[in-house]
Amino acid sequence: MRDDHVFEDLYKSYAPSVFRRARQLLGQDADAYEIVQELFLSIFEHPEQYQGRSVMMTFLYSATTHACLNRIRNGKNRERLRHDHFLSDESTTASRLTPEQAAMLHRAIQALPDDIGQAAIYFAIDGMTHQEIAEVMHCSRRHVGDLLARAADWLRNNEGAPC
Amino acid sequence: MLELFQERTSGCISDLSFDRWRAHELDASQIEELTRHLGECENCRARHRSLEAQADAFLERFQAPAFVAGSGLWPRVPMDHRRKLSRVRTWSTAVAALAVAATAVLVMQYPKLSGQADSVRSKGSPHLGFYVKHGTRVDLGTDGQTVHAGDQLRFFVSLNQPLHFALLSRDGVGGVTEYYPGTGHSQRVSAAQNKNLDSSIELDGILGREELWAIFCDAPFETEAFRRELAAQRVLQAPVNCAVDQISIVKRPDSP
Repeated sequence: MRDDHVFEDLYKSYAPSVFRRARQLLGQDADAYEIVQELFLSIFEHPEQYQGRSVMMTFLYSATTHACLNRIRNGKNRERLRHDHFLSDESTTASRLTPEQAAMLHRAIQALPDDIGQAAIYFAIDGMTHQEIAEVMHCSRRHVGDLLARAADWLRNNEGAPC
Repeated sequence: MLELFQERTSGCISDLSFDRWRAHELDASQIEELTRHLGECENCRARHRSLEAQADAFLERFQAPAFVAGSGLWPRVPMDHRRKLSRVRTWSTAVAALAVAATAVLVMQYPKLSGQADSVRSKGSPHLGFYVKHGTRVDLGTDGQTVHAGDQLRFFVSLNQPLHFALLSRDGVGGVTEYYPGTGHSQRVSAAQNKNLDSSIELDGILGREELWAIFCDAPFETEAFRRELAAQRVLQAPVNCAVDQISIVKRPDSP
């Protein structure tokens, strides 16, 4: 089997998930596809980053979240990736969020430390269990609970604050 | 707002689990658990359908980037994973079929029968597979599969690009039937692995070996010419820009 066939199989198995999650977080197809290309090119050129420490899907969930968080927090993108695009896909799990919740969550993700922001995304947007989040973030369930409690604290302290 | 971060107890299936299922990363027990839940939860069935549709739409719209092969590094990542794929894929598809059966999604369109073979299929070529439901049991079919009158068959196809598809059958007494789509015209099918067709068949009482011929072409086609060729020649030759896959089933009387 040629290498590019292996790559193509993996692309078909995993790229749709990367794209869907990136679109949920960034709100636009073009931005989401850039994430897909960035990640797959990165893995293609530097497979050692995978290290085999988790299954490929959880590795890509983590990598996608990191890449999207970087974009969301990037000053140049912040204005473009406004709340009103955030979680704009009505067909996603996140559609259970009200627009107000989505906007608040977007603010939280921008303001919170990286690990808390990741945990918030996995839980509130992806609908993952504490156990699943622990697997993706390579930490304990207890730590996940702590991170989500801190995210809840932030919401409690900032709810109603002006954007 | 704070309820966003309170642990949920619904037991519904996360997108991560669906994604891992689709990527053939789950083992049999995990798939059984998901299948059981799908049988009970309409919300998760709807979410599953939505995710599959989104994945199909993505792959139709965005082909794999044309990265240059040969870095020598890439295979280090997927080799172990690839072994896992080959081990798990059969379970994944079989239990997916169980979910189909359990949720009574089978759509009966044709009054007839079923089977599969694939010893020389080349990777990447489009191909046909099937599940067979006998009573309450659902199995992944294999080439030469023994089946019985009244069994239900549900077919799936795997193809790396959108193609136009039809499925013909030649039964034990030489009768040729169009099993799918049943309109006399091919049906366009999007690129997917193990994509279930939206209909199933129930086997009739004609015993003996039945051959199933899957025809995949780049362009739409009429099935009548293929039907005539199969009736007259007993085999189909793939025309230019088409591919043919063939599997067989053997229908036997029910054991007493």
